[in-house]
Amino acid sequence: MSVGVLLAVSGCSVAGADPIGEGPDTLRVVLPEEPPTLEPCDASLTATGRVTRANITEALTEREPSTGRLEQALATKWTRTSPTSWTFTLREGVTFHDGTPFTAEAAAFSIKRATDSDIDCNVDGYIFTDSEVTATPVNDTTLEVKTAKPDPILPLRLSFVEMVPTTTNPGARVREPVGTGPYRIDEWSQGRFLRLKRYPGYWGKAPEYAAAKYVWRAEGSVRAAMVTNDEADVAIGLAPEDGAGDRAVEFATNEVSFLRMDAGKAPLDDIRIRRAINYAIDREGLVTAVFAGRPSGQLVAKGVTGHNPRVRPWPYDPERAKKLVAEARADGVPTNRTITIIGRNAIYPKAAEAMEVVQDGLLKAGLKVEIKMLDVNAWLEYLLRPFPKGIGPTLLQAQHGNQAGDAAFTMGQIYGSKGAQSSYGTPELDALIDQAQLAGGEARQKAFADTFAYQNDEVVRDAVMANMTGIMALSSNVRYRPDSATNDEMRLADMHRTD
Amino acid sequence: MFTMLRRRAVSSVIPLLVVVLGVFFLARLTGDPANLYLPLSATPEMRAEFAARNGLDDPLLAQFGDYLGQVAHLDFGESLRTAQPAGEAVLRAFPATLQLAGWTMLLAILGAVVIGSLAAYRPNSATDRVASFLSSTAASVPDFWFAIMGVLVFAVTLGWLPTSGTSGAAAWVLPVVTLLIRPFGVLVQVVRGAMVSALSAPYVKVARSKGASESRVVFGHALRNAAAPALTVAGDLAVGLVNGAVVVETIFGWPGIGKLMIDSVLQRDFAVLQAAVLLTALVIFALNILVDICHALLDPRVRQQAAA
Amino acid sequence: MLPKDDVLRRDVEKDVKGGESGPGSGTDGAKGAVVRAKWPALLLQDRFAFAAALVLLLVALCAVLGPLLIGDLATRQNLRDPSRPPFSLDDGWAYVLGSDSLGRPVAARLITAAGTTLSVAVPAVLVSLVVGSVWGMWAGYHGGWRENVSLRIADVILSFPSLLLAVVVLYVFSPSAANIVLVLAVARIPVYLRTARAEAAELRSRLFIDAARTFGTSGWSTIRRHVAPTVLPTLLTVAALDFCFVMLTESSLSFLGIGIQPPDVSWGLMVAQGRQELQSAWWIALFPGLAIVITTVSATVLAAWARLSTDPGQRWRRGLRRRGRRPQPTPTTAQEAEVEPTRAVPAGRTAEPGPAASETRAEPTLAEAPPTTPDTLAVDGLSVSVRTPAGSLPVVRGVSFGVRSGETLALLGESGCGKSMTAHAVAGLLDPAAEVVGGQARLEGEDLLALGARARRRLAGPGLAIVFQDALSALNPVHTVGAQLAEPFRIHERMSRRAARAKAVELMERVGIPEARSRADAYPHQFSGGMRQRLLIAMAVALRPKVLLADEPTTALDVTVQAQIMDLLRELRSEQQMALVLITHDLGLVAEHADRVAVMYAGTVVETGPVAEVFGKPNHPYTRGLLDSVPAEQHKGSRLSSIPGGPPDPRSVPSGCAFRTRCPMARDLCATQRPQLAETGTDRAAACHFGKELADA
Repeated sequence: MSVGVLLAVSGCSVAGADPIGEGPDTLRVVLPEEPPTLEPCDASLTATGRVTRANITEALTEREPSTGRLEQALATKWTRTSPTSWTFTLREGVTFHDGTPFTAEAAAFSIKRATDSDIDCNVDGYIFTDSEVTATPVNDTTLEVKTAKPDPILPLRLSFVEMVPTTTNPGARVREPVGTGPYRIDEWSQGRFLRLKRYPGYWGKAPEYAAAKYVWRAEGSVRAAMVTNDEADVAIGLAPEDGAGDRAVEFATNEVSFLRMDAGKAPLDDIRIRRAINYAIDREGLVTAVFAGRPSGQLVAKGVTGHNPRVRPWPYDPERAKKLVAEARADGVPTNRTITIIGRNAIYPKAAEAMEVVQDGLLKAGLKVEIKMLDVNAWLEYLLRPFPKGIGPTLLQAQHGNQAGDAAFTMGQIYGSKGAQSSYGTPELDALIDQAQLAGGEARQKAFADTFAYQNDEVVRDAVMANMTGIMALSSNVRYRPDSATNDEMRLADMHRTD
Repeated sequence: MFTMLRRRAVSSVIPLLVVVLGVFFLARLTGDPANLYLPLSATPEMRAEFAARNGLDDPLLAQFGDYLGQVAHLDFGESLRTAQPAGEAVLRAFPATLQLAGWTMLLAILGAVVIGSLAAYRPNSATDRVASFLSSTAASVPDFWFAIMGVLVFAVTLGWLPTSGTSGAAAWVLPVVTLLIRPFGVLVQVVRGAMVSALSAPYVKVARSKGASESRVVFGHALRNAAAPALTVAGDLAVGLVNGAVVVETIFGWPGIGKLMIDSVLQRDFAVLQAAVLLTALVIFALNILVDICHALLDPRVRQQAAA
Repeated sequence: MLPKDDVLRRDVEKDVKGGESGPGSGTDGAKGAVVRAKWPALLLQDRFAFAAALVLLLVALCAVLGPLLIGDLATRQNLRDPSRPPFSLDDGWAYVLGSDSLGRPVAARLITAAGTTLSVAVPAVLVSLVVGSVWGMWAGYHGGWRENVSLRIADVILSFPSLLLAVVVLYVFSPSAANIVLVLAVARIPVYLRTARAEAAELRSRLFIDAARTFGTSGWSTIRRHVAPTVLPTLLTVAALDFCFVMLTESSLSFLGIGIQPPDVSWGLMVAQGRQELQSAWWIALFPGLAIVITTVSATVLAAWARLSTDPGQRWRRGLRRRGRRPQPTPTTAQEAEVEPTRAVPAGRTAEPGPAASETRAEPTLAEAPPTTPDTLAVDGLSVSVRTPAGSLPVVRGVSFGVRSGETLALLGESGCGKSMTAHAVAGLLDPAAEVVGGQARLEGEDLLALGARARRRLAGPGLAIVFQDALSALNPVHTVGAQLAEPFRIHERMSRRAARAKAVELMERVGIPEARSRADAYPHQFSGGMRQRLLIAMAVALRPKVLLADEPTTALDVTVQAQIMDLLRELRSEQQMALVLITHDLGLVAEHADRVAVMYAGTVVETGPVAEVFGKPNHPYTRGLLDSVPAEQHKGSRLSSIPGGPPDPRSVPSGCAFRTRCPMARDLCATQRPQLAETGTDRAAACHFGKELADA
């Protein structure tokens, strides 16, 4: 009886809310989670960016992930007019989805909105931490951008600032933005699906699919099953064990998993222990049994400015680890002090198992180790300054993805002694970082590469584990070549029909 | 009956307030949301600003006072995550869970009545033993395991059902069955127990001594007496469905309140969490009252007590 | 004042977990019969319960000894060759269930996990059981504000989805086994609280007038002595199901990443981690899942068994297990069926099974005696057995009697002598545990016991009707009396609702219910005891039955009402020319209202005859003993308790004459030979070797 009432009250609104049978012109994509908003200035957030960027909204420039080169987008030309100012020439004939033309005024508005407003834009914190910019329109198609300090990579930074019309609310996040991209938002039925439709007034080449429909499922095996079951064309964020079978496509991402050591606290303040930890981790074992990836020795992936091909992953050498620990113990290092691994659930597939592997290795090396798995928010307390007081030495399970393609977005934050995510640094390392950040061109690449090598040889603050491999499933009627940026920016225009 | 309703409604106000209070303070104990909503490199000034903007820098009691004031005007605050009114998000998610739970309970009750009665009709018979074994197994299957197995078997291997989603009747099968399995198992045992007891009651013998057919004995006489205990347990199980809904909604991509609640805890989205718990508590209280009304309808003795 | 919701809830939680009430009055013979055996012996008798106990013991052993047995096997990783399939002994027994994604043996992990699992589940269940039930009993016993506040607290906890509560609390206090125990216990406390409170409140309403309080015993000792024993069986059953709830919730918490923290391992965590591998390595999640299921099912089975064993009202059910294992005895094999149980009784209790076979012969003497007018109902050699774990137990042993139209026959005997069982057997209303193993019951020549169910139903009402002892439980509490009285007409005469109701009102008027028209819409609980008995009688006589069996129709009533009811019965008997069988232990009633009497002892009729003659000059020492124990002319209302000793346990009925152990006239002959019911005069018979002597004396 009660049930009848419940049903009567609720009506029947769910059934048939998102009919399948979208037709072959619609690309069906299944994501691990629903985007919280599609706010363009949060585009550096994975969940938001992979839908928004280059699909709904576009930036002035865009980085080609395979080469690392900066390409034209809404700007066709940029020149550095002085150490602190740049001039951008904007593309003509571009219109927003609402029909208004894209002008320098809109670009200036977008930059101001993203970098200097009350919205707490993610882009602002991620890309513009240490730089202040002011943009002024010179005329309709010319934009001048000034920085407070010399900034050799401003155009790269601007590849994260999505262009929105001046009618966009400057004081609050927008859920459904208007952009210049090849697709515009057709319908967002919250919790159920998000449908994009091809924008007929797009300035560039029209994409192949007339529409795209995003749905989201939290469970990897369900996402994989949707592709094998022909309920979706594209599934992302899969793990090897999710069972996508021959529909699975692997690709190198820019994510690198690592353990951050609390090098200020005994016994981790002894470099022998830090080295021992690196030798004790079976990286090959991890990528065989736990997650997909390639063992790595540095925090940035190939293709990022500053990547040092000579920094190799640490070899698995339990004997040497044991010896180092024994040596340190003989010198009075308190090796029996308990080290806590601070893990984060679901940071990557089988996160807890990965830490069990690490723990097993360290125990065998003669250290005392405990695991504590936390949820994101609690984990962030450990990741970010100020760190929790009164805790023992920790190893923090972390993962870093340098989306922007320049080591500057890695170094200062993670290795600088004052970096927001840095547990330890040395003055020498700080100096190297500062130097590299001001360099440009080839010198920049070399300076950062040297910094990574120095960190790896002399500081050993981290135990870098692996450059993670992404797995996506593609149905047989879709052709797409994922690249290292796919997880953050999945271009629908790059998806093609096989027939 | 109205006296009873009024009394129940009045006596629910304080517990409801306690629920709101509890969730308000517990939620804030789980940590500052600033870390999640500000960029990793946020400066202390940005954090302070964030706290001020979201009213998180006031003393807790003042925050609670403000919140109650807002709620009184049906303003549940804004979601940090999705930048939209929390009340709206909760109301949008609620019907999906309600329908899922409604169908689940309907089927669980119907199935349990049929199987429980069959089992009780001949206690300790083979039917009874099989039903008891199956129902206690059903009551102890981990639901997320069952859900994923369901997807693998019925969607991937056999291709009979869609893996997930909310479109079409076929998509309802796996979520409903997953959600149903535990309450069904428990209910079969309850109905069986109550029916055994009712079927051995003297009034059943009297009915038989009047020449009543077996169906009349079972459905006309025993079932209504057995319904009362089953009803209360069904009420409690319906309340517990919110737990199962978390799993079902997570796996099948069902846009309901269970996942919304867990997500809002994970995301420290206090406004949504509070609104969701408040609404669920309201519905649970309403459900309890509904169960009581059903009791009164079923049993004249309860009716009389209620009137007194 | 009891808050309403809990009045509503009370019967529920009591019934939930198997609140099967005691058997009807029909099994009174069996109830006392079951010997209180020791529980291990009882456990051995139930294969399912025994298997369940073994499983739980094994799990407990794993939990305790696991770490010693396994050593570090459970954490030994093999990353180069993970996820080995199960059922291969190549790598040693530990790998028989395969290995997990880190190459650790699943079997060894299962055993190690048993300890963690139990160390969460057992304390969580125990804490909620103890706190919840003590709190609930305290609240229910005292009532008032304590009860109200407690219930509101329970409301608050219950309206928080427990999984959400667990998540929030574990985020605040970090997930550890102790915190998980705590939060799960808190989430379940209200369930026990409400159950215990409801039962305690019910008891309070009874104890209030009871001596316990006035004697000044403290609240707690009353709770301990009176409340706890009644409440506990129910709570234990709830606890068994909660065991499963806790394990599953712990598993769900692991699914959300806040359950047991690795490298500790529980079954729940194993399932949660293994779910990721379901497609590639199903065994990682399946075996721990099975462990949860098997443990839970075992706990439930054992709890159901424990409930059955601790509740005296439930014991008889255990006998049902025998059904189907042995072919149903047909009337022709009745004698064997009667003999068998004697053998099944443990040696040393009844040593001499010998005479049994010869005893049961030649019973139908009375029925074959030519009556002047044919009996409307003739019961002939009726035997009824009750199934018990120890075998089939005869409780009615060859009973024969006859009754004519317009005549009242009293079946007189102490409780437990099988008289109610006889009536229920004739009416076809035996509990499933009891079965007719021999004899006939002919209604106007048609053997009721040989009829099919349908034919039997046709006669129920117009042919034979029965009036029960306890009118309150015999009337369906949820239907109006009008509807219940109309039912015979609806069933047998297919009358319309309206017409049947008019007949019902007529009947109510006939049996003397004032304002019958309006009161037809009232419910049984709104009538007084006497009125209810009238209603019950009205229902029985609705279709003018040829035979009316009245089973202790006045026991529950006070003396003045008793008389009114008996007068009503007598009036109806003559009005409708019924044959009335009055089953009673009350000599006074028999003396006043019956024409003939059949005295029963230990499942047999020991003496029959016209009341005046039998009471004037009993031909059986038992009858004489009965009468002697009551001063003449004061028979009314007296109980049959003045003969030394008590009636025999049906499991150990003395050989030969069942009465000989209490009989002042007993001799050697009585021990070896069972006396048959034999004629001792005109229309009189007695089952005594000295019946004739007594008659002639």
